[in-house]
Amino acid sequence: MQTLLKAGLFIVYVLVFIPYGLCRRLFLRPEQAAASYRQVSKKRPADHMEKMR
Amino acid sequence: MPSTKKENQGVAIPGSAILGISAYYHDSAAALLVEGKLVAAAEEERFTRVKHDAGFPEHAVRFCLDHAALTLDELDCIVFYDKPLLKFSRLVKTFLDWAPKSMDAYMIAMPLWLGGKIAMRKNLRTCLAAMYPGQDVASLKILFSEHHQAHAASAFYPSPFEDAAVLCLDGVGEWATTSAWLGRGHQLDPLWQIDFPHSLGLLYSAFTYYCGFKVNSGEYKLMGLAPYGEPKYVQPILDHLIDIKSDGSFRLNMDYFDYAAGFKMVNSRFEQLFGAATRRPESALTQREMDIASSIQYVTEEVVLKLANALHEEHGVKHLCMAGGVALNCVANGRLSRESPFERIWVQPASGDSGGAVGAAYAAYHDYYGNERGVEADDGMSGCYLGPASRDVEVQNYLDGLSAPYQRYSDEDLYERVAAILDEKNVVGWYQGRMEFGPRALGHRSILGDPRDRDMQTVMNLKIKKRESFRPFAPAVKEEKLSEWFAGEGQSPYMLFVMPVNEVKRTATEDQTLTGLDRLKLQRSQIPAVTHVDYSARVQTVSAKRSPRFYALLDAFEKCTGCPVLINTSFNVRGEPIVCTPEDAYRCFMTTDMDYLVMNNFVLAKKDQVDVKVDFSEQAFPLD
Repeated sequence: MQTLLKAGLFIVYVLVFIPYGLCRRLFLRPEQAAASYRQVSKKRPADHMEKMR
Repeated sequence: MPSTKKENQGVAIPGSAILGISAYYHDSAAALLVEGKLVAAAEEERFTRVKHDAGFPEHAVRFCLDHAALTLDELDCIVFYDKPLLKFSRLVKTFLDWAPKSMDAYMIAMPLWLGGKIAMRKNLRTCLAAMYPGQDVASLKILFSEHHQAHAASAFYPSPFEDAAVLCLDGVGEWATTSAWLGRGHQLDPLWQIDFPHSLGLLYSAFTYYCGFKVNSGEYKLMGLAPYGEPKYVQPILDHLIDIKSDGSFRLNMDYFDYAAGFKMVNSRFEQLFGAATRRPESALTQREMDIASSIQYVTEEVVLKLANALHEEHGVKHLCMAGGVALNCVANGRLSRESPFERIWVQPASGDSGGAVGAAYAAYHDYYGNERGVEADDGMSGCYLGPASRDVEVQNYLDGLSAPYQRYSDEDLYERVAAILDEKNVVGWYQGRMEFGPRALGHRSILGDPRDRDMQTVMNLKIKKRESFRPFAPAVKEEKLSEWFAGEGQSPYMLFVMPVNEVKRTATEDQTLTGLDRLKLQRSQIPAVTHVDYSARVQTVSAKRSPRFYALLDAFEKCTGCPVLINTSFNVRGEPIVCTPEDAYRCFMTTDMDYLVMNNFVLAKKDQVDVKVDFSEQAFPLD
């Protein structure tokens, strides 16, 4: 089972992750100069602690 | 939406019993909140004797529930300290961005996540069901706080402030590595965050790694090494590694780091920048490592100061609370307390991941259940004395079982006797009351010594703690004597602020001919064993209210010697978790050159233990 899982993960990595990573590098644009690197945090809904995401 | 006991039964307040859990990264822990008060907390490593134990905190959970005489089904909820799916999304995105470099890390991490970590709710229920067979685990409510929400909650809710700005700085949780919050009453609102891979904690850890220390435990060593060096590498760090804005926000140049995709923290480009390969662990330290430590310490302090100053300017609050691993950098905290515009600063003493268990429980109590908050004048951490204690009968039974010779003293005689022992330059293991929660021993599981003895630092480092000779020891001082001995005011009960030894207590000026570790040879003050090479000290103030027995000992030592200060270091050897039980304490006592062990009112002299027949051959702890 573990071997199958690993084989599946390997195939996904080769077919999806590597093309994505290489394309990203090819088309990555230089970052814009910014005055601040902060990102405004979103207000959490009241029930957000019930979720795992 | 939250259902409450109040609604259901009309009696208890909502969320009256909440168990917080941190686990599966490092420093697993559990913490129990009963009616909004933190009543018990412990790290799993203390029970399993595995440093930074990352497993499910079974022993810590059991201790917390037993301490409050609660069963699992009497809990309103269990709160996990981060959001697994959010963390998983960060991992996947990072593996995608860094492919094909991320392949090895991906092949190790993904099976672990898909094999169980991703289904954390089920995983937690399975662990609890195994611990408490027959109890209704299926209907137990399980909540999840965000990692930085847990840090922020651990910093603000137990703090002595009604309103405060909150700054969380760590390696990484889900995405956030740095976050700011505003706390008012029981409300804790997020302001902004900086996301992975841009992380001040990981930047510091990268330098820890580069200087040959272990990540997630060697950061203290780097901080302790910094005063031996000069900040010669600040400019290369600012030019190449980190861009810092005026508000303190920052971005790392990931061309120099490998931690996002690989198993190393830094790459060859980083090594080229500093002109040498990563230092081999345990090899000799050179002036270069000291200068690098000094430089990254300086940069870290600058970022923390800028972040704090901007928060103050924007929100105009008088108080600052801090948590996250970087908040344990007590040199930066000391500078912050002296130079930032905040009137008071409170740092969560368990600022690392173990404190996430505390914060997760607080977040559920105030944020999820909406309970009001009562502010305690000292704080809500009870001096961090939140772990298990040993009753006299337990200590005596253990010692009698070994036929270990001891003398039992009354309270009145104990302190005087131990003060005299310390005055004779003996090193004493001091085991009293409830074990501390968090990384610091605060006079309940401590090794004590006379700070006036100039050789004591070397003796305790090499013969007792079996660790590097450069590492400084911390002083514990009677609270009301703080300003007499150190340039500081108020309280520092958790050893989280470094302050200079008072000018009047200093005995020497710097000898320019001494460099590097040779600077240790100079006697700098009347308490040389706790005076670092830059005349600083990581002070613990001890009050009779928080720690009556430790205070009584300091008082007796002052009466005996005129000095209200003792060396206080954690009761363990290098690589070992702080002792938890009488057995751990006795084993540590017997396998080091410690002279005396004091457990509750029982005093044991090493020279009397010759006939104890139990094999206490030294346990091998992996070096930290």
